[in-house]
Amino acid sequence: MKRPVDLIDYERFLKLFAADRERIYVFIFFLLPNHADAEDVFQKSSLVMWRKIDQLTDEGIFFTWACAVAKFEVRNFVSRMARERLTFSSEMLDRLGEERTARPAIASSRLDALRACVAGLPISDRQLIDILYSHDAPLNEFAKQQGKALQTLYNRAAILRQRLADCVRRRLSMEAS
Amino acid sequence: MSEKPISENHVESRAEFRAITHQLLLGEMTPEQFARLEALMIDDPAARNEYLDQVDVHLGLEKLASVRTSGVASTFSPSGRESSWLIRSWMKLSLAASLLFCLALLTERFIGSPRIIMPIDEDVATAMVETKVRLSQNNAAQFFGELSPTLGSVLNLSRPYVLTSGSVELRFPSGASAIIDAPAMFKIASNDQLDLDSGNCSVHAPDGAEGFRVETPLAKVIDLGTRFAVSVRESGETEVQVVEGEAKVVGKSNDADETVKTTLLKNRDTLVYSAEKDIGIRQVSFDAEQYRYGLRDRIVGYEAAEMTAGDVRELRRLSVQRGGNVYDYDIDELIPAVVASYRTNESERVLTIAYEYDDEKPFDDVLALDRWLDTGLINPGGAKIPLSESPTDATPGLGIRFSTPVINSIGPDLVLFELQSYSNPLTGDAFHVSPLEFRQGLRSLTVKQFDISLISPEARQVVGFGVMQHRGPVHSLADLATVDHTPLNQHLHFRAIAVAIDLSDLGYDSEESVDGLFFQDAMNDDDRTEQSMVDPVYIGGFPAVQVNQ
Repeated sequence: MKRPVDLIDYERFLKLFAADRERIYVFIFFLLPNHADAEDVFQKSSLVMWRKIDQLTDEGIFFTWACAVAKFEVRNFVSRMARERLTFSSEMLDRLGEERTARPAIASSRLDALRACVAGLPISDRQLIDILYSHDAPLNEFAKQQGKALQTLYNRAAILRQRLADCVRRRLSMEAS
Repeated sequence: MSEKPISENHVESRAEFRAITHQLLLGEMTPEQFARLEALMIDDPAARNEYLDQVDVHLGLEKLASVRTSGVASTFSPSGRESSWLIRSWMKLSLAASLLFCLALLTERFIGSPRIIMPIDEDVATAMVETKVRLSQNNAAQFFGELSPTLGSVLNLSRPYVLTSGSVELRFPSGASAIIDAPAMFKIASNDQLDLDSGNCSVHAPDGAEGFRVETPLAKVIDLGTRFAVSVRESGETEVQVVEGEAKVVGKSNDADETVKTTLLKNRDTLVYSAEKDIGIRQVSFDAEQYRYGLRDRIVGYEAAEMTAGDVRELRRLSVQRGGNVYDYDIDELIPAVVASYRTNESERVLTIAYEYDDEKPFDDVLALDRWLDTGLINPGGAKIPLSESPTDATPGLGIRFSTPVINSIGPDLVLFELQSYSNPLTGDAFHVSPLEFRQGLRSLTVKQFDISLISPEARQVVGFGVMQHRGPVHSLADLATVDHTPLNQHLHFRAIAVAIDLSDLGYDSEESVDGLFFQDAMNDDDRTEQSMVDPVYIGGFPAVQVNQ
């Protein structure tokens, strides 16, 4: 029995896509920083990638190719929805897209590094992160308990994210060396 | 309008930029703020770099939090949200007769990651069709793009499942079973046919299940009452090894003119169908190790009393596989343990006791390692090298004694539960378990992987609890009361994870009685800023397996 060509292509696509799907979503989210829009464009981009997978001659550049497809779909989305949604300008999309693509590839251990960095935070900072991202405990109660203004906690969260980004970068570069 | 680049450390611009970015990530942003964000970034590479960092970490933290909300890390929980775009595309694709398969890519919020619905064969159905094939066993299985199905659930017809780690056992209605090891890609073709596109599977077809088939890209293996192993490589090369009984193997060919070869394999016969036409069919040496008679012994699952919002507290029942058979124990059947000794590593501050929120549990109950999965004596000390002689009062760790001796019986003999949060290792904290009193032949065992870990659907979130912080090392149980300490509210969310321990792995003889054990953290978190220590909250022995059971 002959295996359908579509299935072979699909398996090839699945293998490549599986390795990079989260990086592709992150790339889209940088350009369209809200989940609803990023998801829509991710779906559309993924289908386009599958349809065009036979045009990819070098599997080693799948991520770069996928980002190009995704960026094209983001531009389409922005041109259609600019009046209804908050979207960056074309110039901004170009700059963010280039800078994101130029960043080192995200190691598969990135989440592990982030987890370790979170574990290294003082307990009060971990609690703040936990409450912010668990969505099941109101932040204002936590603020009251801690005797701090909400805005103070928001500022702290931004500082923590930057610290965590630095920590992750440090860890990954140590691993790489 | 010229902007102050935040790269030049203009404090006001930096603070404003961070505040707006935070609003953006909260999803609470006005058009004016969005325009301001772009204005702050457009000519400032440092600001764009920080934006990328902030978003990167934000998505990562959402992902880590999904361990708690979905129960599975790096996997995906259905959100129930399908975009209108997807539905429209689905309709268009259904109409496209040229497509043999349609791919629908469905995402949910990134905390669950992009989710993929696998292709559906139009010949079979336009929607998922359930079979009578069930997931009967699960050993740390992770599937690509979806949550692992729960135990006992029915699998869908003709939908590719991609097993990325662990093992599963599938049970077919005829009584046939197939154990599949990751990495593997498979489909349920019918109630008596498994399609294995890649990976290894071990099939047992008892009386009444004759005719059960495994189809690979290059061959069909038809059972004639047997046990056989099938291994499919990425190229499609298929290796069949018959362990017992007989199986008929039919080659598949892309060439309509080629004669299809059928071979009858008997006990210990093997056959390899090569993907390379020049090589064709060949035999290899029989390897008994290729066939798996069952998943390894382990904790299969547990039940605990639900308190609020599905969070659990009191352990009620436990399922454990011992010697290949699954035993269900009520908590009353397990042999409880009490803490005999406790010593932390040297530290200026140490979290020692997990206790009930707002209502501290009696100290004695904590020491008794009672049935509550959210209370216990946590963070015992540890050592990188496991003990090779009996622990003393100076040995960091946790000593326990069972209320009645645990007999080294068939398979695992006791269970250890610990508390784990998403910022701890997903597979559990590695620990050493050692005899309380060494003798010749006894040794320590290092446990590195929990049976039910944070990636298991079976791991339940426990209700909130507080922790006691001691301001100095605790060298004994008496120190718990005398060393300066203070209660802390604990906001982090934890799950109860579990692992089974076989006393034979410590060198105990069969049927030997064991009064107690000593536990130490393995101190193996060199890659972390601080050690993630094991947090035992329940340790219980199993009743001895009766030979006639």
